[in-house]
Amino acid sequence: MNLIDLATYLFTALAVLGVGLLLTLRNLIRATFAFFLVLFAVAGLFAINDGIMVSVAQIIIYVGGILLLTLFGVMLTHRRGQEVPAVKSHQEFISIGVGMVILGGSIFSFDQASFLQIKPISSPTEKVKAIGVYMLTDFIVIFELISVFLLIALIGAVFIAQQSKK
Amino acid sequence: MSLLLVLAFILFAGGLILCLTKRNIILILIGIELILNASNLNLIHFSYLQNRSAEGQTLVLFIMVIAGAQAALALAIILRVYRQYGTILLDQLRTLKR
Repeated sequence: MNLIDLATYLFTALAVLGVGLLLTLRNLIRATFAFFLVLFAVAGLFAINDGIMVSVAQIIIYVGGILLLTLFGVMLTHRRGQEVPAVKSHQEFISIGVGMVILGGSIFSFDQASFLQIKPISSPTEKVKAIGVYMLTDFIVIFELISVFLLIALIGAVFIAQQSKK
Repeated sequence: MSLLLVLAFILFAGGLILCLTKRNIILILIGIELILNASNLNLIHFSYLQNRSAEGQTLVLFIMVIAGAQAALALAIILRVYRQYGTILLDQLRTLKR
C-alpha cells in the first residue's frame, strides 16, 4: 500500500464521515461545517485523480464561495429559540429506503460494468494545459454562455435580495 | 469497482436523503450541492481512467460555475422568503401570498 492509496482511503473516510454527520446533526451550523469537511475531502480526491486545477477550483469556489454564502444564509435566517421539529418517522423511513435502494442499485449495476478495468497511466501537468486549450477551442460556446449566465444570475440575486422600498 | 465511484454513489444517496428528509431550505440546498459534487467526482474519476483528454475536468469547471450561480440565487430567494414569512421551514410555508 503506497501513500496515494492511503490518502484515498483517508479522504474517502472523511467524506463518508461528513455525509453521516450532515444526515444526523440537528444543529444547522454544525451541519454546515460537516458539509465543509465533505468539500475538503472531495477536493483532496480531485487532486489525487490528476485534477490539480479542479481541486484548487473546488477549494476556491465551493469552500470560499458557496460555503460562505451558506453560512451567511444560516446566520441571517436564524431565530433564537426556534427548534426544528423532528420529521415524522414513516416519512424518514421511506426517504432513507429510497436513497438506499438507489445506492445499492447503482453500486450493483456499476459493479458488473466492464469499462472499469482500464489501468490508468497518469500525466497531471498535461491536463492543466489541455483544460485551457479546451476552454478556448471545443468548449468556447459553453464558456461564453456560462459567463453571461453567471452575470445574469448574480444580477438577479442582487435584485431579488434587495429591500423593497415602501 | 473503484472506491471513488462508491464514494460518489454515497454522496449522491446522501444528498438525496438530505433533500427528502430535512425541512430546512438551507439543508436541502446543501443536499443539492452534494449531488452536484457526486457528479463532479464521477467526471474526474472517469477522466482519470480514460487518461487521454481533459474533457471531464473542463466540464467539472462548468458544473462548478452552475453550482455557484444556483447557490447565490437560492440564498437570495431564501432571504426574501425569510423576510416575508419569518421562517425557512418548508412545511410552514403554506400560502403564496400574505
